[in-house]
Amino acid sequence: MRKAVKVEAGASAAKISKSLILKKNDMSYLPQELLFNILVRLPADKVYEFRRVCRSWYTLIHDPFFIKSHLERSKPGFIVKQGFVNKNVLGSCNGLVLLKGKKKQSSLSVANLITKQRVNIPSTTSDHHDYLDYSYGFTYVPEAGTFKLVHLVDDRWTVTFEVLSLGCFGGHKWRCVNGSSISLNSENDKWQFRNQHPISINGIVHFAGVRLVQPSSIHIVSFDAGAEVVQKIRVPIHDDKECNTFIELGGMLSMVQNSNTNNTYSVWILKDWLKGSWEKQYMFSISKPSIKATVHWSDSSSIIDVRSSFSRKGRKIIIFERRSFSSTPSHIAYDLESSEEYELQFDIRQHSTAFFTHVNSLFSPKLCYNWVHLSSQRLFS
Amino acid sequence: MSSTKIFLKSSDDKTFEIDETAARASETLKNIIDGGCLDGVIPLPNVSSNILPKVIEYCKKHGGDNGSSKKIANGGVDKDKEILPDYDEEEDKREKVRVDELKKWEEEYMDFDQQVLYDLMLAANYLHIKGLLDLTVEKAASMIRGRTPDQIRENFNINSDFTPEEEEEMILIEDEWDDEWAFD
Repeated sequence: MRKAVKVEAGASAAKISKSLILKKNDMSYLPQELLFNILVRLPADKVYEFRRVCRSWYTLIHDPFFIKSHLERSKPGFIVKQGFVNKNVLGSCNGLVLLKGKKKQSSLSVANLITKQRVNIPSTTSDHHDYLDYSYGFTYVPEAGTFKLVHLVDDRWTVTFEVLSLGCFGGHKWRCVNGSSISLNSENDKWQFRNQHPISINGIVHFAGVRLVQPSSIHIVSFDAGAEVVQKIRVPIHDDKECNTFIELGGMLSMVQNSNTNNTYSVWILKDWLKGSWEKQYMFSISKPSIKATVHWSDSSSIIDVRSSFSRKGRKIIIFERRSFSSTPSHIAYDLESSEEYELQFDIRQHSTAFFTHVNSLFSPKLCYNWVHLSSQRLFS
Repeated sequence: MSSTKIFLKSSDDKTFEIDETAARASETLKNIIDGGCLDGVIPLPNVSSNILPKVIEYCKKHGGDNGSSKKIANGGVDKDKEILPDYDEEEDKREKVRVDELKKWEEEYMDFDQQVLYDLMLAANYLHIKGLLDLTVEKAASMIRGRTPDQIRENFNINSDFTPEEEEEMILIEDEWDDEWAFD
C-alpha cells in the first residue's frame, strides 16, 4: 500500500523540483542557499575575489544578509601599530577601519582593507583637533544598520558630541547632537581624554576621561550613537598607583585593573550602562617572563600592558603585551573562562602604540545597511 | 526499542530499506514518520539511486544522533541507559575512541568525486540532514578555497555574464588609494 506523502519540512516542493530540472551536472545551478552556505565559510578576501565569477555570485556576495552572516562566522585578528610606523589607524569596526591621513593630520577616511573601498570623511565643525587620535569613536548601530563616527569635542568645560553616519543620502556631514553636552568641570577641574582609543560596543562609544586635578579620578563618558544620548559613568575604583585599561568583553565595557606592585589583575564589568553599576568578575595573574641568564634587567623592569580583547564562542580573551628594555615584546592571550595563558606568535619587533581587534568583512563604507531584515527574506523566499 | 523499517523510493523508482532510528537523522523523514506515514513507501523525487545508498549509509552511522557525537548506532543504541553527568575517565576514553573512529569513518565516507559531492549536498539539503550538509558544504568550501575565479568558472561550467566594462570596473577600485592612505 502506498500513501501520497506531502513533504512539509523545509523548502517548498515547487522550489526543489525547479532546482532539479535546472541541475545539469554543474555548480552554476546550485541552489542559492547552498552557495550561501559554502561561500560564508571562506575568508573575506577569497569571497571578495569570487564576486568576479558571475552575476549570481556577485549579487550574493554583496547581499547585506550574506555580509552579516559572513561577519558572524569570521575569526578575529588584530591591527597593530608599531612604534610610529603605520600610525594611521584610529579604530576598527565590523571590518571597516577609521584611518587618519599621513600628511594632513586632520583628514580622515573609512575603508575596508579587503574590498579596498574607501570614503573620505569631511573635517568636523569644531576646531578642537588637539586630541585627534583619541577623540574619534567608530561604531556600528545594529538597530539602524548604520556605521557611525562619533567625535568628542572637549572645550575644557563641557563635552559635546558630533556624529556622522556613513552611507546616508545627501553625503557625509558631521552633525552636532543637541543636548549631548555634558558638564565635566566644576571650579578648577581639568579633564583629559587622551589615555586610550575609545571603546565601541553595540553602537555605544565609551571615552575614558582622566581628571587631572588632584585627587585624580577616571570617568567614562559614553555616547549612545543609536539613541544619541550621553551618559557619565564613574569607574568602580580608582587609585593613582594602579593602571586601569578599558576593553570590551562579551559585549560589555570592562575595566582591567592592575596594581603595579604585582601581576594581579581584576576585571570589572559594566553590568548596567544606565545605572552605571560595575561588578568585579575575574581575578587572575599573568606568569612572569622566564628568566634568561643574559637578561640584565630584573623581572620587575618588564612591563605588562593590556592591549586588546576579543570574545568568540563564549570565550573571553584578553591580549597582553610584555616588554622590557632588553627584548622584543611578547604577547600573551589570557582566557578568562578556562584561566589559561597562551603565548602568541606575532612578528612584532617594537612595542605597539595601538592595538585593535579586527575582523575582515565585506561591509562597504559607502552604504547604510538598514534593509538587512528585508534582504534575508528576499534571499530565501 | 526495536526499530521499524522504512522504505524510501529514489527518483528512478528503486526502493531502499532503512531503520526508523537511522531515518530520524533526517529532519524531513522524521517529520514524515511523526506524521504517521510509516506503513508506506516514502518517495524522494530529488534523490537518485546512485546517491540514496550513500545517504542511508550516513544516516545509519548517525541514527538517533541529534547533532552530538555522543551516541553512535552500534547494534542499536540503548536509550534507557543514561549517560552520567559525572566525570568518568573510562567513559572519557571511550568517547575519545568513538570520536576518533567517527573522524576516520567520515574521511573514508567523504572520498568521492565532485559530482557525488554535488548530489550528496543537494540530498542533504533536501532531506535536512544537518551533519551531512555541514560535511559536504565544508568539503565544497575547501575545494574552491584555493582557486581563482577563472578556475572556478572552468571547473563548474559557469559562464561569466559580466560585460567587459563591468569586469574592468571591478579591478579599478584599488586606484582610489593614493600615498595619503596607503600602508607602509
